[in-house]
Amino acid sequence: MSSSKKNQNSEVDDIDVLLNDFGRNLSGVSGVVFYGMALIVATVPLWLYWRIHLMDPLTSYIPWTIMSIVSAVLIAKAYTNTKFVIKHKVAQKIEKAVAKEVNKMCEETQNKNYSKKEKENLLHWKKNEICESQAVSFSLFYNNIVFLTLILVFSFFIFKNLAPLYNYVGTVAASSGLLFLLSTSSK
Amino acid sequence: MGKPAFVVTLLLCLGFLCLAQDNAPRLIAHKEVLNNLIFQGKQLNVKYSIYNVGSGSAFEVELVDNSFAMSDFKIAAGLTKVKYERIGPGGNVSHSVVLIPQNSGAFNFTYAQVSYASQQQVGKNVQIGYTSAPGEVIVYSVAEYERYFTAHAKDWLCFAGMTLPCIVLPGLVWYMSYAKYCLKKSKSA
Repeated sequence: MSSSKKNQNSEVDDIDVLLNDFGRNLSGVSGVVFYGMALIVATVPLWLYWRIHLMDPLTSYIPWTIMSIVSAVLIAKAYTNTKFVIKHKVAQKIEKAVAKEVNKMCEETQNKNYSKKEKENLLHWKKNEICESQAVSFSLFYNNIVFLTLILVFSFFIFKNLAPLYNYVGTVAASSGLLFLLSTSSK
Repeated sequence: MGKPAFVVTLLLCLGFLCLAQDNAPRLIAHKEVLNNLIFQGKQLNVKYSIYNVGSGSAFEVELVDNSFAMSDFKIAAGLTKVKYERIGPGGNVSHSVVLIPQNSGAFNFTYAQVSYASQQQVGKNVQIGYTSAPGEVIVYSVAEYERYFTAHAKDWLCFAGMTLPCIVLPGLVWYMSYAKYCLKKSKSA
């Protein structure tokens, strides 16, 4: 009775671990990376508006601050959504390659006999690390390209005839909003 | 004898009267701004054209334009007060002034004054007319000029320098992992 309870508890723990690893919640490091990068990417367009659209920083710092924060939050959400989708896709692709690598690692370690459970845990940990790394880096790469392209298109083509302040608000709102919307797709 | 003479005299008088009226000059003056866009500190070209559509010559033709305030416009070339001795019937003259706006904003370009006299009235009675008025004109600031026309090459280079790390670094990290675990797998398959 107690051993079956122990088995059930360990299964529940495994499910919890899987949910944590492949869920939408951000881990500490990923969260810092995402929000930090989002803040940097959200503030990069300010250079364009200062030097090319010739907005005065002293008179425009309030809308700049507000829009940068809003944009950074939306971009970080887009990173998270994209990472969630990519991680599941990558997990299916790398299973065999990671299993092979883990087996090779186990064989190379001398005087250490890994139990089946330990191997499974090692495999799971390795797979999660690689999926996390690929998903985070791809999410940053893809979303940054899309956001910066949208910024250039909106700023210099669609809203080019508006006054610089309206151009900035419209461009940043449209770009970050569209990026977030695209990231909510499940494909 | 009396009646035909009267008729001839009447006709001659009418003829002289018509000739006298036909010899009057009639000037039409046009003032236009040649620039499509006007910027503070950049040259602004104003052209005046005077046409004599009458059948007589216009004498002592004087064009005076006092509509440009010295505080707002500096004269770079030309004169705002010009005199022509004579403009023949059917003739025309044109004159240009180059100004440099000192301030930006909206300005009302009004008419210039043209005065002239016919041959009989030289020094006595001067006819005064006015040119057309271009109307409200917007003078854009120096910042607007730089926004429209400067290449901003260095600024674009700096922007590229700021954005490339945000794209290239994550891309490289992703590709290294992808090449190791995904490409090798598909090659071996």
